[in-house]
Amino acid sequence: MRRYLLNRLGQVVLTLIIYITLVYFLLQAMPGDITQMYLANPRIPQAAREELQKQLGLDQGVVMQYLNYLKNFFSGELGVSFSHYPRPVWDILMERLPRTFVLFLTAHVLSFYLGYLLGRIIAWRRGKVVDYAATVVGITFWTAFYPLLSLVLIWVFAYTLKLLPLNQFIEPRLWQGAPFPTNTVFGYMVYGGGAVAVGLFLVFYAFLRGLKRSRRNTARAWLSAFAIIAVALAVAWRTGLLVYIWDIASHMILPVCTLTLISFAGTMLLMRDSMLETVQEDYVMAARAKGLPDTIVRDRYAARTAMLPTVTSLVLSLASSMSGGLVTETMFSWPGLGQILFHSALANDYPLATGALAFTGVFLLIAHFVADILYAVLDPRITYAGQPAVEG
Amino acid sequence: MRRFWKGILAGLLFVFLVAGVASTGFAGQGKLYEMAIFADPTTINLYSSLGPSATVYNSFVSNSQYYTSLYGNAPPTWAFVPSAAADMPSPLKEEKIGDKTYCTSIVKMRKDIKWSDNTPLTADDVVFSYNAVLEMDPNKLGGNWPSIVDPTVLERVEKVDDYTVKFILKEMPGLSQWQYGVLLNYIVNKKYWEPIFENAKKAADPVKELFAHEPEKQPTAGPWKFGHWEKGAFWQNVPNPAYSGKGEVTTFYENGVVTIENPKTGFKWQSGKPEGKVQLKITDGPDATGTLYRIFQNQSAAVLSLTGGQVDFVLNSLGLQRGFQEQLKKAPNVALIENSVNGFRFMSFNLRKYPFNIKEFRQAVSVLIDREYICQKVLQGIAFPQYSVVPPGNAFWFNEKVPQWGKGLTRSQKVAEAVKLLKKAGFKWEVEPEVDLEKDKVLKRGKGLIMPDGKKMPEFEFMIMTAGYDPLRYTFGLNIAAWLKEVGIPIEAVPTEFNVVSSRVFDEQNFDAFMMGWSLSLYPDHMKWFFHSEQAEPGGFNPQGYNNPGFDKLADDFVKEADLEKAREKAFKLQEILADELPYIVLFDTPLIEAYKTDRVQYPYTKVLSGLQYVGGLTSTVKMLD
Repeated sequence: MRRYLLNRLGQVVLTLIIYITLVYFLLQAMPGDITQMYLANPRIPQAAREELQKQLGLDQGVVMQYLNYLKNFFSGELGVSFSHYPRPVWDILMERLPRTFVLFLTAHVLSFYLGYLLGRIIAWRRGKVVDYAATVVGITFWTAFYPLLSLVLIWVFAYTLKLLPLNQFIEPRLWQGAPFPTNTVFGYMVYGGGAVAVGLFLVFYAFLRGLKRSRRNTARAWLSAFAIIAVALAVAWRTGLLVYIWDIASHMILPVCTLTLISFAGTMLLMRDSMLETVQEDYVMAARAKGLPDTIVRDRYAARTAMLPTVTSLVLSLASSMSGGLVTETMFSWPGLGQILFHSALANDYPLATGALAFTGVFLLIAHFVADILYAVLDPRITYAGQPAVEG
Repeated sequence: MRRFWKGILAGLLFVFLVAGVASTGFAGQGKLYEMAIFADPTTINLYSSLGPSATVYNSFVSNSQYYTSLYGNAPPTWAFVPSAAADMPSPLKEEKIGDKTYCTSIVKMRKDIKWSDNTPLTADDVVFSYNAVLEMDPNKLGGNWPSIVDPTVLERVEKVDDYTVKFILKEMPGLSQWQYGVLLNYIVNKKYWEPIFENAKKAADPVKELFAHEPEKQPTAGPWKFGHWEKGAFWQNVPNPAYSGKGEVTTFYENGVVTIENPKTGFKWQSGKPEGKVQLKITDGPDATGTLYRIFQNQSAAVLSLTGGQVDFVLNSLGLQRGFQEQLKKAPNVALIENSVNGFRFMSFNLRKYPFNIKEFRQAVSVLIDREYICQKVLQGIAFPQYSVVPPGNAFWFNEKVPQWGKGLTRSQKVAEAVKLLKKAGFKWEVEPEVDLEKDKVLKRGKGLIMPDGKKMPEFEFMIMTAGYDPLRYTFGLNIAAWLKEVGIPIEAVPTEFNVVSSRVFDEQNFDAFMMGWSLSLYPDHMKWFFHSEQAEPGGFNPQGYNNPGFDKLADDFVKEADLEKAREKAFKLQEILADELPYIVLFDTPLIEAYKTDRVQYPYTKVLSGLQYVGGLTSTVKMLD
């Protein structure tokens, strides 16, 4: 296993170097450079353009620039943005990351959960009304034109019904005198949300795992879950964060719902197909023959194995969520990494564009690595030790 | 299963209910002036803001809101008026200082202008604002700095007394370098900025160090000071409590005279003897209790926010997309404004290549282009035809007598006129185009154009913008190609990305013909930059390679001219030459459309060149309605 992990780690590093090299030269291949903006003002002398090229290191050859970039990259230095000179690229990425992370992580998890849940159910009830209904609804949203769907949802829920906030990720009037910058609140949301999620997982794991499920244990589990949430809310309220967290959360509802609607069908259909294969397996038949309840057979026997492909899809989508989504960010005025990537590429801001792409690339490679390991954890039949696992 | 759906439904209802409660109650309240903008400013720092990271949004939210200058151009007529100065600068005169001869001018300053920390704005601040930039080297600061504090013109500024400064110039400047250049520089607070500069000078990279400073607490002399910036969400400015311009009245008279009167401080100034009716009277505020710039990433969101009452005005240098016009016309309490812009879109040839260097060839091309047809019939009035390199909207400098090639001719007349011009230059055809002028029909398309040197004209590339980048230029480009082909000119319109066009035209000068656009400044010195032969080198602004020694001399004289009337005469003459020689074939531009909430704000005027965005949304003179 160790040998396998080291081998995979080596592959990851090599892939990363190739990826960064490709990204770097592709961006450099774009015509012109950022100093072209000086061409828009004839009053700016050529000397100023040359000074800027010198300042940004654009007067050096591309290969020299690349070698410098690579050296800096592996020492954790992503350089200085050209279009936000002299802000470090790292600062800009870190400013945008929490917003992207919170929005897209929530949307991906929700979409995965909904897809997993529905996929499990419709596979079990294959050919029934619920199967057709969920498939038709899912596919309809999946094939919808995303910007249009976003606009329709904004128009209905935010503009006409006024149920949800209209665009942006916060309400400026609320935040004018806020004691916290938004990223602090996003940080608390990530850490707090993570802690609450772990707490809830432990509670349900402790009370409802295996055959412990009973009315009393279910009640205990839900009571504990409510207690954890209540404590988290009380802490947020006492520290004055609650109103700001709620503001961000309320602005998240529309983009999260849109993203979920548009993408849950993918996981649902994957899960459905996988389940349909799994339910034919002998061990599932054996479980049924033993007289176990249908829900136990479905959820504990069939779904666990069937979820393997969806887990890979989830891990990869979580990693890609780091790059944000340009359309979502644009339609909902949610300034995240997708926007940064787009605008930096348009502005020939190579350090920022390369930094943003490298950042996403690192996450994707790590996600691949994690997915490989997760496979072994979730499916005992898979081993990386070099010999087949014990079957039986 | 039923439980699952019930749970989902209950959850959604709860979320919508609470979110609905949370989201209401913030729309358009009080006297806060709220505007929609479409990108984050890049910095709070003035030096960086006008440097390489300059964006129009920096100017909207900070530069024009926080700082004053010695002089300014008063909208909507753009008359040159004093701001921090008490009167016009003294006439420039030659003076020997040490062993060198300089050109000098004295500027007397107002004594009633204060910084937001209640200290007076003095000559020390003015001297520092100029000399610190010179010391740092405007070329190294980059961006707009070399054109504002032009090191080729300005030697230094000296303090004469607390409220008088002396400008020492290396040579006699023209209007563009003096009134429309040096004298418009922003004044910063010396007490605040001096230590920052000193610190920067000690750093390995002084410019980088200076740009990295975030002056959130700097004193300002404009109507506003910095409030709060939540990146990606909003920028807020709060009123400058010591703003001396509050209550100041600027009056525009029929004879063009402008008067400024501050009843609070007693300051008075007038540009001449007022005669005729008062055309406009503007009282400075600010009336708003603050300005809030909401940052949106798309125009649909901004328009919904405007009609929904979240913002009072959409502040965009490009105006609103035409598609929103109908939607906004129907919206209650929303008014649309349409203004002409100071710019143009044009096509040009590489004049180093044959036969593009033949004047009659270019005139024939200009004749063949039916600007009115495309603007009115194809583009349904969303663009207006243009013929001159100085737009008619810039009324003072526009020469209305320049020839407008092909204007008013029918299709067949245009073809006939173009054939005449081409024949005059010695062009022939394998198949000459034929027209029926009475029925206005082209009977035979031209084929095989033979150049005056006897060779057949080869096909050439005409780079036009892609439909995604600019559908108007794309449409124009395709139509131009079709009309030129009709008379046998072998043109091939190639939609090309802007960066590629820019690189091939300006850096490589490797092109046949291209289409582009310019936004201009009020003073039309662009005529020198775009057509002077010294700009014909790679990286210059005359990539088409226009070379006319007579024009060069006149252009040089024009930019050096310090007398307004004489400068105007020269500008008119330059326009005449350009209209005859056509190094640029000017095509069209688009009006700027803007929208605001009539139940929330009232502007002193809405008709102004380049729209209300050009004056930053009139933050200090807008009246907030209850």
